Amino acid sequence: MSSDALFLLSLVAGFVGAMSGMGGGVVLIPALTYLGMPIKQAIAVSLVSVIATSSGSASAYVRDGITNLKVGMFLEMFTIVGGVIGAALAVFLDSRWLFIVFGAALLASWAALFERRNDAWQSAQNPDRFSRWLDLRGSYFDQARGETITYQGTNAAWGGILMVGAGILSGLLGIGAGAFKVLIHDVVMKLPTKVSTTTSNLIIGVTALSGAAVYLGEGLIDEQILAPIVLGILAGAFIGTRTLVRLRNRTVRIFFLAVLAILGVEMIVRGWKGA
Amino acid sequence: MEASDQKTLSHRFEQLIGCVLLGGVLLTSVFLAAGFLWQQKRGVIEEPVFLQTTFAALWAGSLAMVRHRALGPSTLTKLGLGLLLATPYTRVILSVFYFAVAERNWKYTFITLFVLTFLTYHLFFR
Repeated sequence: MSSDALFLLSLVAGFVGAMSGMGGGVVLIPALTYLGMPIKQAIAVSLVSVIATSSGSASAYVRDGITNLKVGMFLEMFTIVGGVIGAALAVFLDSRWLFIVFGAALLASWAALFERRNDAWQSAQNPDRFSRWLDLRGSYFDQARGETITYQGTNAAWGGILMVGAGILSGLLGIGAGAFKVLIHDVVMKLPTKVSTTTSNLIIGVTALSGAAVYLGEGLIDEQILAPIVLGILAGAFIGTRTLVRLRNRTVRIFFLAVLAILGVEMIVRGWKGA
Repeated sequence: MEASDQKTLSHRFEQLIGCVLLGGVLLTSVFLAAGFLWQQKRGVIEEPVFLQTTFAALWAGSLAMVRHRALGPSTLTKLGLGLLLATPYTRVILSVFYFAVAERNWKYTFITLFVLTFLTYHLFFR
């Protein structure tokens, strides 16, 4: 496949990933494998592009003071371990299982995004002892509501354990697994949605780095396709994020989520048939 | 240190971390784009070129090529990848100083040091 075509494909993947809120990897990996690339190579290059998109978006949120660095650092202890385990598993697993797990994870992310679409955030009233010891408090100024939001995270131990799983998925499948991370922040740790999303963005980069180190060591990163894919994903995510801000219609997002659901089913079927 | 000074220092560190993340991605893009365009000008290589190395060896190899003035599309791409991998790693290093110097929070300094040690082992020695 030519570099120009790879760039365009990655641009579309980055755009759809940003519009749906699930990240470019969930579109890029099915597309690359459909065009004949072995799934392990597609996963490796996708994980490298995840570092780029995560770092780019996290930069603004850290400067705005919305990201909770304490929560981020605590949870990174768990996600990086998961990231290395996941990448090591991907190296040894049969490719058809990777297709099936990828499809299942895509559908689960889709369900996770749907699940939390109407949830209103409520601060934890009685945080457990461990979370109090970790001091997972924070505050930020919410421009939309015109007020300062203060919060206190809870269930840190459960959050940490579940984050190992999110890290495994990221390393195994070459995706950010942001939908799972945000769900853990929201539902388990009771963090406000903005803090969940921005802190998840920060964690994704370091998690992807731990997995990418494994793929680099195993010789699965192809230098020839690196530039068009990383640049394409970055450009697509940039355009997608700015387009999303201007669109008020939820139907557009639902349309993209439907596309991803079809992709998830298609990956499972391909794995089932022996890819 | 007074509470207001500490808050200012923490805010400056957050600004610095944000700038490092953005700067890392922008520099990566410049190097990858330069390598990509140079390669396009030279002609397309059909065969894949797999990198099997560590982060440290990637940097050492790329810098050696720069020192010997053997700059080419491949070196630029490797430097781009090296910069991209270095971006979140540098953020973790800065976070150690953020918690140790700005926040004076030893609990989180140790937590961040654990993350840094784990990443260092996998990036440099694995």
